[in-house]
Amino acid sequence: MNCIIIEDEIPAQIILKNYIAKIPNLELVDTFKAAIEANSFLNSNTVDIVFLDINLPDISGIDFIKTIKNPPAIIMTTAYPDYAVSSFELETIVDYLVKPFSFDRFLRAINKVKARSIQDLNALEDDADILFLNVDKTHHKIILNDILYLESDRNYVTIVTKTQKLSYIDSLKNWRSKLPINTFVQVHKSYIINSKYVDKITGNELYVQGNRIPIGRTYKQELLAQLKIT
Amino acid sequence: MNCLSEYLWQSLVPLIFFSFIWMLYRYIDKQEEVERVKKEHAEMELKFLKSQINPHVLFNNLNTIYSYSLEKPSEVPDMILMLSDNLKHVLYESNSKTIALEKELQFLKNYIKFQKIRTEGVKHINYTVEIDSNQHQIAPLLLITILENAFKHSTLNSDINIVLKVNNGTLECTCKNDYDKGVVSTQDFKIGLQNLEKRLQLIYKDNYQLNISRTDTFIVYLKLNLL
Repeated sequence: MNCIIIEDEIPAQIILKNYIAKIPNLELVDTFKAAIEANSFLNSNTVDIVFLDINLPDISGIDFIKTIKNPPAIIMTTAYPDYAVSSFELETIVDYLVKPFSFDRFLRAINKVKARSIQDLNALEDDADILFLNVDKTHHKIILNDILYLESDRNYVTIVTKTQKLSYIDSLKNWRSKLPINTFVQVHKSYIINSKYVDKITGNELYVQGNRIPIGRTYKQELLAQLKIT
Repeated sequence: MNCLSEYLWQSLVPLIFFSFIWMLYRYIDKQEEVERVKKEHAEMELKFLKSQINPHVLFNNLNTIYSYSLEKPSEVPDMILMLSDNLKHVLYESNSKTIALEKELQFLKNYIKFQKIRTEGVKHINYTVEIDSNQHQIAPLLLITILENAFKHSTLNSDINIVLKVNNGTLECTCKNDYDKGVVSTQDFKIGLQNLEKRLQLIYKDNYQLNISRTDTFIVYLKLNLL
């Protein structure tokens, strides 16, 4: 990821530079004292994150965001806590740091940006995730999002979707690498489920659209983490 | 005779008794009133104090110190003392009607030092002081209003020229800065400087002169008779 700083105060720039240098894969491309300078840069370059001071000498940070076409993820920095509410109304503002802020707080803001970009990627994949399975000399279209669960039985794998059930020779291990890790989770040595369709979990069993599926002891932790159950 | 004394007795005792009760009520009532006025007064004082501390300045200065603690820690002790001196000045010392000019000037000096660090490369500050005697008193936190105004409304790459002179008990302060005529409305300027004018009228009456001129540069001129 790359980023720029828009901040008129050198001490505040120093803090950001210091923090950015501590994060691997985050590269500072340039630093600007005024919004006007940054504007021409953003017109001809793309960045992932903009650290933006609200109170700039030439234009308020909020007004500046409104002038950018396709604004990147923006992390606001400010000494004015009362702007908090109004700034979140702009969707492109990912987080809001009140000076002085700690490195931990800064890191949380970066992680928010990362989480958001993963979400965006998944949204893109949603449309693209279709594959064809060759079973009995017929190519069956499978929409990954429609898969409820996969079950293995010796050399066979059964794929259960909302509309069909297909069995053919394959292994679950093979499937694990094909499925998006943020929705699919292995719950048993013979089962991978789509966490989106889990209806309930009781003891060592869970239900996916009415289908009872056992939970292996070693897989339970991962499942609970995936479903954000604590 | 007996009848009369009995009559007196019967009417006087209740009269005295009820007057006493009435007075007691009055007393309690009055006490509450005094309490309320005292509280109101304290609240107003607090409000005034709060209005004197500009939280933005405080947090910005804390951020400056934080930045130095990361990159130039050797300068941090001095900066913390400077900030603490200024807080002390605003919170405690400026409660009195007038304070030593020397203290007020030290306060301004610290303020400007912080501003110089914060606005490095963005604003150019020239601050000169010519003083023939430090043995004067001045109403606290008057001059800072002029400086804050200059920093708040000056443009990018603006020069801020501050000249402070004390000669024979007369103080002259001239503060010049570039400003954006389009962006800054006349209303904006008024709030800080209007309060200044109000305070000057209260404290110095006829012993002051305040001129504000807006041409190519913004100029505030204040003349005070300190004697």
